[in-house]
Amino acid sequence: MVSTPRLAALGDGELVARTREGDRDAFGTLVERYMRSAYAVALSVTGRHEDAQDAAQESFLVALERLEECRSPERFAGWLMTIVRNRARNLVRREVLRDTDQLPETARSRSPTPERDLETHELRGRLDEALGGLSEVQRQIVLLHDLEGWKHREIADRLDLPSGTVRSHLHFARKALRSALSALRPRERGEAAEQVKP
Amino acid sequence: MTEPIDPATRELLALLDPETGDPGYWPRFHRWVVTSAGPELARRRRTAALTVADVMLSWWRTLVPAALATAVLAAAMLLRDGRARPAPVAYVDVDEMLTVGVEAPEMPAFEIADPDGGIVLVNEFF
Repeated sequence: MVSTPRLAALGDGELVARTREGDRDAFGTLVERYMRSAYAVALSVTGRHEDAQDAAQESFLVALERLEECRSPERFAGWLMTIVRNRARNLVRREVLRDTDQLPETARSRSPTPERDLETHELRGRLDEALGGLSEVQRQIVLLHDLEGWKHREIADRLDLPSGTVRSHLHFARKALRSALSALRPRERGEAAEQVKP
Repeated sequence: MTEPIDPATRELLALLDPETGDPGYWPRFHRWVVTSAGPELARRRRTAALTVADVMLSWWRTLVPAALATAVLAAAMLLRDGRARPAPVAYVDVDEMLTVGVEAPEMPAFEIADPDGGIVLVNEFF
């Protein structure tokens, strides 16, 4: 990745201004800063890795083309997440329209490489199922907060939601996830945790 | 106050990170986006490097040929119209229409006024 410490220290407003002039490194820094969040938001809408990846990647290109429409460059993240959500929803609509070629349910929510372990696969399936029981906004909030580490204030600001709503959605989403996953045996959870460590 | 991240939930959610099952996923994602953005970034660099003179020149390049073409077209249309123009129409007054070709005496000639204060007489009648 191309981001330098000097660029990484800059705010979104400055990076957007430089990207408008075609600065490749500034754009690369924005991508690096928000690619995981964009993917998480897209995944919360599509529920499928491939679609989430497509939506997140295309959203960065669309954002670059429409960068002049970003009226508050310092709020680039919120503007980008709106693009991601819209593109992800469009993808889902298209998927529904061409539903005849749907993949079998067992193959839908897999990570890009084959699961290395059956138990991890099962755990992932349970997790997808649990997330599927949440609303779209709850999935977004729990993924951005608990996976990407965004703060309540950042989520509220970037998703254009009241801070109290973010807190209550997060509380409800966590409770629902715990409840759905509580049936998992401690051994499974322990092994899964071992596997995700770097 | 920020609610702490729930470690148990985070461990589970980490399974959704593509990097978990595919090391090097995020650098590849990043490279794909930045490479795909290359043409648009290059276009923006070109636009940012444009000076006022460049802008004027780009206008001149478009404007002068367009003006020339318009002038040639206008001239051609004028010439064509001139050749096809019909004979001019002669407009005649009503009284002129009534008297044209009719033999009639000329307007009466008046006697020259007598400088000594004599009476002027008309010597012809209609």
